[in-house]
Amino acid sequence: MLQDISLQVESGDSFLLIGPTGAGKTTLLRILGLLDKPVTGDLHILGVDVIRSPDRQLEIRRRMAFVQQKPVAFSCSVLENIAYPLRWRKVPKQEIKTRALDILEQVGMQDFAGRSARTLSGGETQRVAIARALVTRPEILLLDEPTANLDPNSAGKIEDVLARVARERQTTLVMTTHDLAQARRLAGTVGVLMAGKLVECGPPEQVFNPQADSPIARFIGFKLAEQDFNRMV
Amino acid sequence: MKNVKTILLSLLLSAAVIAGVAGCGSSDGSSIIQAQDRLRIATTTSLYDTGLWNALEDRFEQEQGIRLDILYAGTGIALEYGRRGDVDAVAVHAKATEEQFIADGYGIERVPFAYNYFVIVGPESDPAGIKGLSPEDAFKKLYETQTAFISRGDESGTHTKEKAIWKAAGFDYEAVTDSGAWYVEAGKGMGPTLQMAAEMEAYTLSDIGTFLAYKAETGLVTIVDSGSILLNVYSFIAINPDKVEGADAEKAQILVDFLVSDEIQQFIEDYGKADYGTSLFTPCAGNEPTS
Amino acid sequence: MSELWQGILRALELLVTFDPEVMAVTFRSLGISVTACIISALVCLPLGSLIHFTSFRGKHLLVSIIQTFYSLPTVLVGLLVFILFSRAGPFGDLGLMFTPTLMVIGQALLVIPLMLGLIISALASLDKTVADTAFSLGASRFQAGILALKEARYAVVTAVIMGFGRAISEVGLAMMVGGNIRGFTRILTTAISLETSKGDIELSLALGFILLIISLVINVVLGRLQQVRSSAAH
Repeated sequence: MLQDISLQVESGDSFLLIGPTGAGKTTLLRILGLLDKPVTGDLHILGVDVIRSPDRQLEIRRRMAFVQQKPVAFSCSVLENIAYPLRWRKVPKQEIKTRALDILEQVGMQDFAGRSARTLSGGETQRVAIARALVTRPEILLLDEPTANLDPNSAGKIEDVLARVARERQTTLVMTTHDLAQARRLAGTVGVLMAGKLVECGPPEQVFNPQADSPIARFIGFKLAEQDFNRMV
Repeated sequence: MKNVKTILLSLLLSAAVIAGVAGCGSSDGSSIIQAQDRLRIATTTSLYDTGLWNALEDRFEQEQGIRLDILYAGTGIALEYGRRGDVDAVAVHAKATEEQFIADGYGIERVPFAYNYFVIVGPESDPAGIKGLSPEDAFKKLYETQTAFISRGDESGTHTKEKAIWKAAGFDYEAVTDSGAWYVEAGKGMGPTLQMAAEMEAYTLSDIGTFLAYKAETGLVTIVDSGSILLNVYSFIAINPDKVEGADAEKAQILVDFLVSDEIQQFIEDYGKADYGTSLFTPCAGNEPTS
Repeated sequence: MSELWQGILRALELLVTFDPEVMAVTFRSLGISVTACIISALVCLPLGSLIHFTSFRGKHLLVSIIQTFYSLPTVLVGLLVFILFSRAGPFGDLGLMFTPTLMVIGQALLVIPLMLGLIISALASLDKTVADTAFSLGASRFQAGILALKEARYAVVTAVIMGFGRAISEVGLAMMVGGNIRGFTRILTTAISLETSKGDIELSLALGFILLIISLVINVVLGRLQQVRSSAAH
C-alpha cells in the first residue's frame, strides 16, 4: 500500500499529513506510532532503530502518544480514562490526580471528570482522548484527524492546546487532517500522501502553491475549492 | 457497575472460604490433605447395601481412630482398585476369583469373616413354578420357559456365583446370555438389581442379606433357598504391599483383627435381627465355612 | 404420584431442619466446585488474554480445539484423571485417588476448556480499537491484557460462572475419581446417583432440590449480568 516513503520529521516540528481518503495516511501514522510494522525499511524514532531493537519498542512507545481517528473511551469515568496511561507508567497516585484534572481543564472538560466516559458524545470523547494522550507529556504526539468530529469552537480550543503544547514543550506533532486551512495554520512541514506515495513534502508555503503541472496541484486546487464552497454554504 | 462486580466477587470468595473450611474436610473433621491417615477399602455392593459397613465404619473409626473410606464397587472393579493400589484392602465374595487374586500376588491372605446364602428370589406368584427345586434345576426351568431373569452382569461375586450355577446345570454361559430377551444383564449393584426384578416381575439371584434389607420395598419372596452351591462367603483381603506400591497393609491388618474379634463377630451376628427377625450374616472368624 | 409427594415432603423436612448429612454434602459440593472454578479462572484469565493477543500460526485451530472440548463427556475426563492419578499411574505417588483434592483437579481440567474458550470469545468481542488505544498510550502487553479483561468484564464473569455451572452439575468425574465415599468425597450429584440407585427417593429429591436451587441462583445471576452488560454498552 505505502510505497517508497522516505520521511524525516525534525524534533519539535509540527508535521501535518494531508491527502485524499484511502491514500494511506492512517497506515503511515500507525507505523510511526509503532502500532503496525512496515513490510520493509528502517524506522528510527528518538534516535533508536526500533525495527532492529524490538525490545526497546515499549520504552519508545511510552515517550509517544496516539489519538485514534474514532477514539474509544474505556468503560470507566473520564478521570480514570485519563489516569490509565499514567498508571501504566507507574506515576504516583497523587500526581496522577493532579495532572489528570489539570489536563481536563486545558481541553475544557473539567466538569466531566466523574462522568462515565461511555456516555459522552463524539466530540466530548475526542477531547477526552486528546487529554488522555497529552497527560503523559509525550515527546511525540500522533493524531489522526483530531478535530474531525468537533464543532468549530471546540476544534479551535484543541488547536490552541496543540499549538501551545508544541511551543512550550517542544512536542513533535505528527497529525493527519482533511482541513487544509488547519494544515496551513498549524504546520511547520506539510506532507502530501497520494496513493501510498509521499508526493510532496515541505513548508506550507511551498506545498500550498504547487506548480501547475505537479501531481498535487489538482488535489490542492480541488480541496481548496471544496473548502471555500463549504464555507460559503 | 462496580457494585455488581464487587458484590459478585465477594459472594464468590466468601462462599469458597466458608465451603472450604466447612466442607472440604470430611464430616468427621479431618483435613483433605491427610489421605495417608485413611484406610481405603473397596467392598462389594451386596455387603454395602445391607448397611452393615455403615454400622461397622462408625464403630471402627471411633475405636481405632483410623478414618475408613469405603468404596461401593462390584467385586470386579474392587479387585481392580486393589491391583492398582488405589485401595488398601477389599471385602468381596467370589472365592475362585479371590484365590486367583492371591495366587497372582496381589493379596496377602484371604480371611473369611462372615457368610450367608444366596437365594433365588422372584414374584410371589412364581410364574415359572420353580419353588422347591434345586438351584441347578430351577435355572434349567427358567431357561426352558424363558421366564424373565435379571442377572447382575457385572463380574461381581453374585454374578460369579450365578455363572457357577449355570455351569453346574450344564449350560454354556455364552449360550445363556445370547438366548433371548428374557435374560437381562443389569450391570448394577445388588440393591438396584432387586428393585429392577421387582419392577419387571422377574427372578434374580441375590445374597440373603441384601434381599432381606430390600424385601419390604420390593415385595419379592424367596423361591429357592437350599442347595450347597448357594453358600456365600465374604472375605477380607489386604493388598500386598510387596507387589502393589503404596498399599497400607498395617492399617488393613488392624481392620482384619477388628472384623474377626469376638465382639465384632457377635455384632455381625446380631446385625439385622431387630429389623428383619433373622440374622443377615453368620460370622465365621477367619475360618472357611462348610456348607 | 403419592411417592413423589411423600418424597417432596420429606425433602422439605430434611432441608428445613438442616439435616447434617445433607448440609455436609452440599457444602462439600460447593467447596469443591468453587475451588475448581477459582483455579480455572486463575489459569484461564492470563492464558485467554495471551492467546487472544498473540497472533501465531494455528491460532484458529487451537481455538477450535478448545471449543470442541467444551462438552467433553465428564466420564471421559474422569477416566483420564483416574488413569493418571491411580496408584498404578504416573502420578500415583501423590496418593490423591478418592480425595476431594483430586476432584478439584479433575473438575478444573473439565472446566478450563470451557472457561478459556468463553474468555477468548469475550475478548474477541471487544472493539479492536481498545487494545490499539492501550498500546498507543504506552501499555505493555500485560497491562493491555488486564485492561481488555476489565473492559470485557461482564462477559468474563459470565464465562467464570458458566464454568462453575458445569463443575457443580457434573457427576461422571466426581464418581470415578472421588469414589463417592460417605463423609469424605460424597457430593450432591454423586449422592443423588447413589441414593436413587439404592431407592432412597426422598433423600435424592432433597439433594436434587438443593442442586436445583443452586442452578437457579446461577441462572439468575447470569441473567442480571447480561442485563447490566447490555445496558452498559449503550
